[in-house]
Parts: sequence; C-alpha cells; structure tokens
Amino acid sequence: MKKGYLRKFLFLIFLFSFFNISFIKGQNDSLSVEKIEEILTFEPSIQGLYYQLEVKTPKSQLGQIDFEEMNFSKSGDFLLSDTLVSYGKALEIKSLLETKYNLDPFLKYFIFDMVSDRESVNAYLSNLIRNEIFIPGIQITQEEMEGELIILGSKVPFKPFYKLRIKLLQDIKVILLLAILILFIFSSVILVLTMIFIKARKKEKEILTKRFKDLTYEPLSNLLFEKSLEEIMEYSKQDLEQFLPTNYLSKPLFKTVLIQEIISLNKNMKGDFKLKLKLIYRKLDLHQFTLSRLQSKRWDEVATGIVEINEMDLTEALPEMEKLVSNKNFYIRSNAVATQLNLSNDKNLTVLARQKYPLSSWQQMKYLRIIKFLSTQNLVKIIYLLESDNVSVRIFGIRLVRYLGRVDRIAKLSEMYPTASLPEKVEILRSFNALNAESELNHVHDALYSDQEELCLIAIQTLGNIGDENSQAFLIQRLGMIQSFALEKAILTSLATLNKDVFLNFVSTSTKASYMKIKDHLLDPILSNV
Amino acid sequence: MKNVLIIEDDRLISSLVQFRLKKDGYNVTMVEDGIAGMNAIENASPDLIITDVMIPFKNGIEIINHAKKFSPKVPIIVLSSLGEEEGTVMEAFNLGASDFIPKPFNPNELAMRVKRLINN
Amino acid sequence: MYSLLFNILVDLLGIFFLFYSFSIIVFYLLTTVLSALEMRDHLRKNKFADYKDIITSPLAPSISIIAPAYNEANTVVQNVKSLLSLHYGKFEVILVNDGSKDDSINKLIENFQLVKTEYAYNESISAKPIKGVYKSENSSYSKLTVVDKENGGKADALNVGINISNNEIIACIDVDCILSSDSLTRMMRPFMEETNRQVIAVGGVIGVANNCDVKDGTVTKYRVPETLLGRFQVIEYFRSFLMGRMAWTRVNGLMLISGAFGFFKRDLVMKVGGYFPKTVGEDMELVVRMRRYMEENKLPYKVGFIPDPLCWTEVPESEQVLSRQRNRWMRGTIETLQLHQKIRLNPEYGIMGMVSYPFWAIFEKMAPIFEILGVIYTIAMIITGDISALYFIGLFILIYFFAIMISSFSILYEEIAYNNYKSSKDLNKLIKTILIEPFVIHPKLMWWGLKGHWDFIKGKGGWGVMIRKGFDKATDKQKVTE
Repeated sequence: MKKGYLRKFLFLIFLFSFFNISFIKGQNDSLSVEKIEEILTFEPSIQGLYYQLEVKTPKSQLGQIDFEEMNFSKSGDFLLSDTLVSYGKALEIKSLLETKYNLDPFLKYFIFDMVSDRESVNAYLSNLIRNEIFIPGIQITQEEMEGELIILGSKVPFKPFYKLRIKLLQDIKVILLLAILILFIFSSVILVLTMIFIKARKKEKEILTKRFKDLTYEPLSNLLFEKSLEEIMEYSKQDLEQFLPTNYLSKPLFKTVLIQEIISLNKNMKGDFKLKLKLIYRKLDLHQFTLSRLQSKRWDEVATGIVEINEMDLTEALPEMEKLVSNKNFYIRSNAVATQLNLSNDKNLTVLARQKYPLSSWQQMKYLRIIKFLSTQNLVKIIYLLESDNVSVRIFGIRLVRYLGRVDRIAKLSEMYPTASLPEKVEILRSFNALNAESELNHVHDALYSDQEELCLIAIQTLGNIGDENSQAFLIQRLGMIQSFALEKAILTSLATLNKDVFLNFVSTSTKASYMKIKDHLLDPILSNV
Repeated sequence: MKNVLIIEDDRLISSLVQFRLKKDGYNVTMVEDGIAGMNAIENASPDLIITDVMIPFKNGIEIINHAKKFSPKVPIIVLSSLGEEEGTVMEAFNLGASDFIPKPFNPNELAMRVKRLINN
Repeated sequence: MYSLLFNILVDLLGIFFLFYSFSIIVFYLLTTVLSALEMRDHLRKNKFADYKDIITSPLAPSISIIAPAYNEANTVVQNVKSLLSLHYGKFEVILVNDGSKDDSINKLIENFQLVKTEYAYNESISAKPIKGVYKSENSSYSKLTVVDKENGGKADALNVGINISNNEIIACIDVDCILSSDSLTRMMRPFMEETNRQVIAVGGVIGVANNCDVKDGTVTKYRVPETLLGRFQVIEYFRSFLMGRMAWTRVNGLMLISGAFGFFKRDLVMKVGGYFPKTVGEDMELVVRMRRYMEENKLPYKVGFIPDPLCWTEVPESEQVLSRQRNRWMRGTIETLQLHQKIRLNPEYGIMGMVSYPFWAIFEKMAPIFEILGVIYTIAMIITGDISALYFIGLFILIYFFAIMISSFSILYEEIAYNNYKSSKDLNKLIKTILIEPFVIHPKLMWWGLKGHWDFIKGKGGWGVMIRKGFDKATDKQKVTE
C-alpha cells in the first residue's frame, strides 16, 4: 500500500515535469522543414548563407559541356561552381545539370565560410527568423542598405526585438499563472507528503495495536484464572513480566494497549477480578505511565491519562486533578471533575459546587452517573450545588433533587423559587412534579399565571399531577385567558386527569373548535393508552 | 465435547470467556458480529449460545429469534451491559433466553451457569 | 480605437479567469487544511464519548424523527421498522405519507395494526390538510405515528410532521435512508456538549449505499457502485461531506445540512416558521433562515456536523435522474441565495454573510457559467492564435491536476478516518474515476447546472418573482406562506 502511494506520487511528479517541458517548448517552436525549404527557395539571398555545386564527372563528358560559361572551375577530379547567394539559383543549376547532362551534382552549404549540412542550415535559419534578425518576405535593396536606417525600419512591420521576453516579464497573466503553479506544486508536495506520512503511521499503529492486543489475551487470562489474588500480591514486577512477552513492556504503545485492555476488563468484570487487574496494573508500574500522560501538551493525551486515573482508582493523583478541574479544555475539565467526584469520595460534591464554567448537559450526564453511584453508599449533599454562584450548577442541583428522589430538598427548592431565574424555575417545577410535592402548590399556581409559556406549560403539567380542587378552578380560569393551542391542550389534559367529570362538564358547555378537537383527542381510546 | 458459541464484539471479553470455558473442557467458538453469529448458529451446531445485546449488524434479540427458530432446544445466555432498557431484558426472556447476566460479570459465575444449563 | 478597447477587455477577462482559478485553489487548500484539523479533533473527541450513556440518560434530549414518504409502498414498512429499532431512549417516529398514489398507507395500517385517531394538533406552520393521524394498537409500536396527508411536496410533509411532533429535537430523515443503529446517540452529542452557545442544528454524512450489502438496516459490506456515475458520486460525497462541510464547521460557517439526514432544535424551527415549501432547496434555505434568526437576535449559536458514517442512501445512477437532481440543487442554491440577499457581504451576519454566502454565490452558483465562459475564451484565443491561449491551456492542465489531488485527498481522508472501502480493487476503481471525472462527468454537471440557471430564469415553479424579492427578516417566510 505504502509503495503504491509512492509510485502514484512519483508518477504525478513525472507528469509535472513533462508538463513543464512542453510548456517551454511551446514557446520555442522551430519552423517546419517544408517552411524553411519554401523560404530558402523564394528569398533571393539570406545573410550568411551560401551554396556551391560540386560535380564529379566522367572524363568523356567533360568536353561537351561549357563549364566555363556556367562559371565552374576545375579542382582535381571535381568541378566547382561559384559561390551562390540564392538557393533558388543553386537549385536551378542543379536540375539543369541533372536533366540536360545527366550528371549527379552535389549541393554544398556554407554558413558564412564554414561548410555545413542541411540540418545546420535549417537550425541557423529558424534561429534568424525566431530572433527576428531575418524576416522573410522583406526585400532589402542595395540602396536602402546604404540609406537611412529609419527608412529601413519603416519597411519592417513593427515588432519589438525581444517581444516575447518582455511580454513574459510584464504580463500579469503569466505572473498569476506562475504564482498558481508555484503555490500548487508547493502545497501539493507538502500535503501529499503529510498525508502519506499520516497514513503510514496510522496503518503501522493499527497493525501493532492489533498484534499487541493478541499478545495480551493469554497472559491476562492466565493471571486472572490460574493465579489467586494472594499469589499475584506476592509477585514482584519481574515475576509478572515473566508472563508477558519479553521486552515489550518498554514500548509505549504496548503499555497503552495493555492499559486499555486492563481498563476494559475492569469495566466488565466483577469481584476479585477487579482487584487482580488493579494489582497487575500497579505492579507493572503502568500507573507511572498514566501519570506521565498528564504532562503532555496534547489535550487528548492528558484527558486519556485522567480517564485511566479514574478507572484505575489512582487516588494519589487527586492533587493533580485539583489543578485540572478548571482547565479551559472541555474534555480535560469534565474528565478531571468526573475523576475527582469518583475518587475523592467527597459527599459534599465540592468540586462541582466550585465549578466556574457552565455545565453542559453532556457533563451533567456523566456526573449524574457517578453521583447516582455515590449516593447508593452515602447521602450526598446537594445543598452546596443549590447554593452555587454558577447557574448551570444550580440547575444541575435542582435536577439531582428529582433524579435522586431527594424529597428532603423540596423545602430548599421552595425557598429558592421566588428569586430564581426562568430556567431554574422550570427545573424546580419539574422536580416538584416528579416528586409529587403537593406542599408547593402555591408556587405552581403562581407559575400557572406566568406569561412565560414554558413555565406556564410545566406548571399545568405539574397541576395535572398534584393539583387540588382549587387548581381545577385556576386551570379553567387560565384557559379563558390564553390563545396558545399547546397551553390549551395541556390545560385540558391536566383537567381531565385531575377530574374527569369537571372536564367533561366543561367541554360539554363550550363550543370553541380547538376545545372540541382536544376533547376528541383526550377521549380517543388509542391515544389515551399512549 | 460440547460446543459453546460466543457472540460478542469485544474480543477481549470473549477471549477471556473462551479461556475460562476451555478450562472446563468446552469447545468454544467466538464470533464478533450478528451476521457471523447467525451463520455460526446454523453451521457450528452449538450446544449453548452466549450473546451480547449490542453487537454489530444485529442485536441480541434478533439472535435469540433466529436461534429459537433454527434450534429451539439450545439454551441461550444473554450477556449485557447494565443500564440497558428493561424492555430488552424482558423481551429476551419472553423470546426464550435461558439466562441473563449483566455486565460487569464474574466469569466464574458465567462458567457455573454454562455448566448447569448444558448438563440439564 | 475600438480594437484597443476590445483588447483591454479581453485582457481583463483573462486576468479575471486566472484570479478565479487562483482563488479556487486557495479556497480548496484552506478547506483541506481546515477539514483535516476538524477531523483530527473529531476523532480525538470520539475517544472520550461513551455513547451508550445517552440512550438511557434523563438528560438526553427527546427526538422526533420525521420521515416523509411518497410512493414508497414497497419499502416503507421495512424502513419504518428499522427506524423504530434505533438505539435511543426518548424518541418517536412520525411517518408522513405525502399523498402517495400507491397503497403505502394500507400497507402501513396492515403491518403496524394502525388505527385512525382523533389526534389534536395545531397548524403552527401552515401546510396541506391532514387526512388522518394513525397510531398503533400494538404497544410495541407505541413510538410510531403515521400521518396521512394531501400531497404537497417534501417541505410541506416535513412541516406537517413538525406540527405533530412533540420533542425537543426534530430529525428530518428520508425514509429510504439506511441509518446505523447508533446514529441518534452520535448526532445528539453536539447538542449536549456545547456550554455557552446554542447548537441550532446538526448535520450528518450521507454515504452511497449502491452496490453495498445491506442487512436489516445496516451496511455490512462496502463496495463501490458498478457505474461510473455512481462511483463519481462516492467521491463527490467524500469531497463535500468529509472535506467541505468539515471545513465549514471548523469556522462555524456551515449553510447546508442535507435534507436526507438533519437534526434541528424544534422550538427554533417553529420560531422561523418551518420549511419553506415554495423553494426546491428547502434544506439549505431552512438552515440559512435559522442562522439569520440567531444573528438578527444576537444569540450565540453553532451549526454542528458529525462526519461519522451513520446514514446511507441509494444515489441515482441514471443520467436522467441525476441531471434532474443537479438541476434542482442548482435552482435550490440560486433561490436560497436570492431569498437571503440581505446577508450578502453584510458584516452583521458574521462568517455567514462575509464568507459562506459569497463562497456559495461565486463558487457554487456561478461556477458553471464561469467555467463555460473560460472554455469559450480559451478556444477563442486558440483560434485567433493569441499567445495567451498557451497560459489558459496550461491553466486547464493545472486545474485538472488540482482536481485530482483534492479528490485523492478526500479518499485518503475516508481511509484514514473510517476505512470503509477496504478492498484495493475498490480503491483502484475510485482512482480511475478520479482521473476521468474531469473530462467525462464534470462537463455534464456544469451543463446541468447551467440548465438549472435557465430553469430558474424561466421561473419554473411559478414563484420566481417572490423569491427574487427576498425575505426581509428571517421569520418573514411565515407571511409569505400564509
């Protein structure tokens, strides 16, 4: 897999380099051979280009041809023509020699005075044209050459000499394109490398974790089922290490996996198995590893450490927790508070009462589970929560009153009610409702007339549960004052549960359409079952 | 040798139970999800089934249903975390589960109940 | 003189296209980085979440699942059964039969022993009339409510469901979606976790279920779809969910929660007047309106997103169906942006006004138009032999590689985070799709998008004038519909 990605990456780079080359080539395009042939033929002369014809002839024919007339001179076995400036002329002579005299002349090229081949001529010419030193189709006569430069210039269509280069530097489009290209290549290389790195590391970690897990089953099962608690207690660290595969315990990942497995077992097992697990954990010095996590800079490491402290009852770490309960990271903070609650055995719940940060319902859910457990052993003191400066802590306290069925705190809630904020009032009423606090009817009646719909609604529901005869009258009175369908439905529902006869009597005398709908709903046998 | 089938997604727990039951001389098969569990019920002819309630792809109730359809006489032990809805437990018993063990549990106790159910 | 002006115009256009491409690349690079950070945090947070706790905790919010159904008689019973078997404590399932022409309602009545009841509800959000509200006689289906109503479209059906619902959170779900059994618990986490701002909505990832093995409401084996269009959508969904929406979540600028799987605070949805049935982009429009409400009332809020694979759906593999879907999406985007013009570049609307809205307007709404203009421009350059043509050809090649890179990343993301497509054969198929997508599928998408523009201009649907006017306040939708 790793190799595969590398291959793809290299492929990508290759494509890029290809792309770059073609890009440059696109600008340097040379002229085609045909085009050059055409230019050579039609131009009377091209600066620096000369031609010569060379003929090697059989002696017999020499007499028949008037080489003198054609300006050929003899040189050894060869006959050489004059140097010609026109390629067209050279070709003409060549074909004349071929057709008329049946000779086989050879065309020699000169660039300045160097003998060259056709390829060099092509390269030379296209170079001239590209650099606009020579422009095809512009006839330059002798007089002009000797005349004004300006006249010469006017004959040539205006084209700056190094147009392309100037354009390249000045054109914002190119700059932009280059910027995009550089940004793109740079970022993609970085991103691809990081991704490959992360993926490889993750994969390796997964494989190792799985292997380490497999390695821990045996030793843990052996220790748990074959050895008694006393035996384990007798063991030294070295004895215990005998059970584990050798040399693995120095690897942090192995420790992590082992701790995870011990915690998971600890969660799922009962009785002296729990004790055995904790003993093994400590004897192997894994608690040191856990404690060292708290020093990490990564919040998830720290939080993992806290969770481990909590699960393995490392009470010696409680002072550390004290510092972390007001950490600004949500996960560190909430796990530290949970650990503090769980391990300190503080029935005053001080750590919660002192919380400055608002409690989310997620945290409350966690704490509730712990507090429920604590309250099976000891009566926890909710009072400090109810007196906290933090609204969300007070709200949690009010909720705890009903979750834990703390009828003894109804009086306190009643005392809080008049000055409480709206969300607190709502929660207080809910607790009254859940605990059937009939003594608190006054507050509930008050709330019934509140113009806050939420509060009013919960008051109505509470009255449906604990209301008396006065409440029935209040409900009917309140019904006349409202328009909200939700409230109407709630009032009629509560009325029907309080006193069916009053309810039936009331709806039979009313004609309001919404009441009729609600009546039908309440009398529907299927719906009333739900 | 009697066959015991464990359907449990936590491999550590099932390995531990396997280790414990092997000590008592049972042949133990472990599977990690509901679909493999259903296949094993059909093919491995277990003499007893231990199943978790929350397992991938299926839930324990479906496993019980399937097992009761396929081989009604095989006893089933439901192993599950506390705090699960009571309805599920009731439903499990109604469908014919023989026993219910809440997590956290004691593997020795589980082994004892396995022995009792198989010997009956 | 004119030719000079023309040349300047051509040059400016060229510079514009380059800038446009440049900003696309910058935006996507930012997206990659932001989403990677968000994903890392999400995976770390997941380690500390005990989702089993939520099922029974009294502190967990109650949920009303609202599933509109139209002509789904063949699958509706099975789908409702899987919705009912989700792992959660306090929830109800409200199936809204939106005037199906088939026998959906009879099948439901038969299978769930339903009885018509005198359910009293209030039409807080105006909607098409209800023909009947059904509950089951069998107590094991007590969580189910079936509403039979006259046909009025998806948004209308959802509004009816919202009217009937009683719980704190509403979950709007396409009835044919496959939901993982722990989807509800996971989607609740953002709602429960936030301490000093309100979470108004949470969106989730939609996976492509085509060609996967599905048993009893869970995907048991992942496989890439058979067709190119299907495979393309797998990648596209990775890109838009795992990268796009994650990045937007990071900066709290998420404007779209998929209509097939979205969770909302009910009281807030009621306050802003529910879904707007007159747009085809009702899912995006609702989120924008809810956000506007929060911004206008200066309330701190967040729109959450959970990237865990929890919901799957069959995506269209026929070109005809897909083209209609994309046309509709484009119109939905245009309509939503038109309705809420007020937030455009308006600093009062924070990130949404200054970043999300312009992004949607430039890179989603206008993308097909700009891209096609760019192609025409380049062709014109080539024909006239202008040297600039070279840059643009270069630019196209560059964008091509960039697209490939982004798509490959989205696949890598999926692999690193969840690794559901395990077989290397599947991965190879996806990589092949990535390579040919820009040539084979992308032009089609652009074409369908253009058609969407055209249909919007023609005023398909007949509410054109009203939408072009836009809402003045986030709650004005109520006035429009009443």
